[in-house]
Amino acid sequence: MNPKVPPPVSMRRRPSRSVPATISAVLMLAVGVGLVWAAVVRLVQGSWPVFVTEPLRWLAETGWDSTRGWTGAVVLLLIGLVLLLCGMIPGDFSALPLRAKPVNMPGMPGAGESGGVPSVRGGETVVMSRRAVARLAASTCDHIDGVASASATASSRKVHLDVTTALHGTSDVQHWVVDGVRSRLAATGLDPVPEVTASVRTRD
Amino acid sequence: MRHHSGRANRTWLIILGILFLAAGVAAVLIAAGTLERLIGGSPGRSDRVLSGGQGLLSGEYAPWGMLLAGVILGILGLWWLLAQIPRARAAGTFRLQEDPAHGVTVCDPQVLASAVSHETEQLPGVVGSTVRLRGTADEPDLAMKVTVNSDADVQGVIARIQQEVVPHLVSALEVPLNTFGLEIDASSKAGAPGGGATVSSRGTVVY
Repeated sequence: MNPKVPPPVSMRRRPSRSVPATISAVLMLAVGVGLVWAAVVRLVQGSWPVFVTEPLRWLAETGWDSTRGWTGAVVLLLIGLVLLLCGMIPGDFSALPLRAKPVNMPGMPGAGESGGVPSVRGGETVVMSRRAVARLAASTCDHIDGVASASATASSRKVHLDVTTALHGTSDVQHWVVDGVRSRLAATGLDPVPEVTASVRTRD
Repeated sequence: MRHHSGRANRTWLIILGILFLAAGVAAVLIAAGTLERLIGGSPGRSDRVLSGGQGLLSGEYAPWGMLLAGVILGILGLWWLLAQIPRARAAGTFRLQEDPAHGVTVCDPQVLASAVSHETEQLPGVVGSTVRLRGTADEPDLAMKVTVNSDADVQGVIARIQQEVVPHLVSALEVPLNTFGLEIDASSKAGAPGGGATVSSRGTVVY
């Protein structure tokens, strides 16, 4: 493979943590601009701006074992812990893998009598977004007798349905819904088929 | 379909987290007096957090040091901020020649991507599609996002993309794809005819 060509973009990715990263980047940029500004003011006017001298004075008056000192230490610990967890917790996949058979193409160079060469040399990835799985599950419920309305949420391992029904007995509807959605997801080619759960409530 | 800076984000968040955590642990150890007992000459619990702060600022090189620190921090922050913009990583112009002495054939990958998208959107049950070609003419990567109607036969759509759409692109490029990525999304919108559109139950049945 040509080393200059970047690797293909992953179709099944984990959260990129862009929110904490953006907040941290903006804060870094703001601190950087503040430091440059303070230095320029000092070089031009000969005195430091207040936003530099005041925090230093505050720190010079604060003892380590004072309430403010302990508060600062705990705040630093908490910020560190949150940033560390944001970086280390992998998060859920954005999509679920789908089953797909590789396809051979006859007539391509190198096909010979083997019935063709694969149309894709390297990896073939077929996925379905979690949102799509949820929509598919909710849409399947709409076709099940007794279901008044349905909504679904999906993670990479589990699909949960919230179903309302006009029937007083909910156990049958729950059974039909779970079985129906599981069959649909299996027919869709999800591999492995996520666990399906349902909460059914009677419509007032 | 787009490249996000997930790995860089996690790396920088972990580095920052370790730095903040180390500063917090050091502050707790100092405030508890543990550090003073362990390492002689380190700040004690009754000391001030910053002793001689004004001395730091009165140094001759203090503004230059602060300027340098500010520029480095600002550039890092700006780079990190810009890295949050998702990258398409689209391919450059494909050059399809065997021997440049006999002429050069160039092809805009966007044209091929549009053709693939158009063909995909004709498939039953498909609502829309986004197609990106990456890599080179010799090692093309195809990434597709296909939105289907939520009642469509998903495996049928995938099979037809694999057996019709992809081979047509491979025939046009005359090389197998390097990688192929397909993301299926679902929508309640009606797809192309023949793909599980809901039919009203009202009507007259003629025998």
